[in-house]
Amino acid sequence: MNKAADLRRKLMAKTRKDVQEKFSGDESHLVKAVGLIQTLDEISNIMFEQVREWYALYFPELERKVKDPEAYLRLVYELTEKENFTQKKVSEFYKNEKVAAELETLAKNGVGAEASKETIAEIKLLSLNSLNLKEERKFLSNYAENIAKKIMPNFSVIAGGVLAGKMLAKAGSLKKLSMMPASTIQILGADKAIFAHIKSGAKSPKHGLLFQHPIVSSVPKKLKGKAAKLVAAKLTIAVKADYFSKENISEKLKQDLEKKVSALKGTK
Amino acid sequence: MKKIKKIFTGVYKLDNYLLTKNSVPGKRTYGEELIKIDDNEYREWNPFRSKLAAGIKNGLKEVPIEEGSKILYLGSAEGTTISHISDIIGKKGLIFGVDISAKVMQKFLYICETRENIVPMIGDAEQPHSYRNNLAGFSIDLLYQDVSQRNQAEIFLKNSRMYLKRNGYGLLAIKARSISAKENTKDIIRQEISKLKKEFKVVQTLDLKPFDKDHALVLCKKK
Repeated sequence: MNKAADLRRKLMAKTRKDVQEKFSGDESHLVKAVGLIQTLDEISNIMFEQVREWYALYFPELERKVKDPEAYLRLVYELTEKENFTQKKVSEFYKNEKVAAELETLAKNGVGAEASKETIAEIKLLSLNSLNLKEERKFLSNYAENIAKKIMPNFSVIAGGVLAGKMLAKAGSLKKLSMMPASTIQILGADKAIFAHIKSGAKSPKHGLLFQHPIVSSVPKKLKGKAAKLVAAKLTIAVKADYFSKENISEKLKQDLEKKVSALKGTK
Repeated sequence: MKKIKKIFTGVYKLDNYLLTKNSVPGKRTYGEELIKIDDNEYREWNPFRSKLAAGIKNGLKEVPIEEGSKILYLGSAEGTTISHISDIIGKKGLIFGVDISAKVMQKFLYICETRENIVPMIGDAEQPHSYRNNLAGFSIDLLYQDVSQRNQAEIFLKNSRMYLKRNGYGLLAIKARSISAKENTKDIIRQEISKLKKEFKVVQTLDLKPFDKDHALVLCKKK
């Protein structure tokens, strides 16, 4: 019985240490931050929709003219009441002279309904909250960029910090990501599509999270698969360097990739 | 006066509730009901949270856990089931809880602190030799496994070969959905059981409906 108590004490200490070690280091913090970024995106989209729908009862013309969520929220928050939508004031917050002039006339002869001071104050508060969320997201993505640069210097140069974090989160750990073949990295995040492919023979996915990569999103649809393959190949090398040799080979990889992508674009 | 019925060693029944005697009186481990009868405190054993409790509810013939049993538990998770087994085996028993995830170990460690018959370790059940040193010198009476892996039966066999004593019991919770998302649950479970038959005598197989979907609990005895 003594032996068991000894063993228990020893293993409790060891397990405690193992747990601490597992969560120390920046990896798990990056994964959390990236998860939060995705959640914040969802929340702020929903909030923006609500603000827009509510405000459109009062001033429906604004959503037709201003499509960008942040600019829209800014205008709602800063100007709020229809009388304030003069050309001069609008152009302070929205750099588009033509639209600013149009908004002034629309505000005067629009089809929007009356709204009480109380109602408008509520909408104003809501728009402020959504703007704050967007602000918070900017801070977080800065933070994620920095951490990603630190723990995966090569990978994050090619993928970009936030995408690097997302891919790390999907893979589970840097070790797991570094063991992946390029084909897995290429479709990382396309779980639904790959299982549909395996199960019922639907088309195989060409890209998962990599769809968000600037190179992949900039090429025409026909070339997206090939572009994703190129990026994935370089990312595979990069993450291996990050995890094993810890050398910085990002410049070389980046040049290589750019050369190959421009060759790909030329062949069309 | 409430009537309490003993159904297995350390397992009691009150109306429709399953109970175990709380070895750490006054403490809840996962938000369960505490019930005081006479001078003893009992904890409610929720079959929706624990597959062993679900098995007992669905008519498990015997529970191969005695006072003083030595148990190897693979896939301890947050220790819900383990805390009840720890109640049953008492101070002389010992239960080794193995899990691969550090996240659940954080919570599991809390439970270990108050219960002196639980030994936690982070380990991979697929590689039983990786925790061989920790188990050296203990003969294991019961191997309990509840892991979400594709090769559940193989993991169970690997571990039983290394640690389970002859005529020792095995309790295997089979999660059909971790093996295949597509095939019929009954077929999967039949296949998994057939893998055990060479080395084990299968005593009973239980469907865990309605407590868990697509799960089965297998009670078997090592040949």
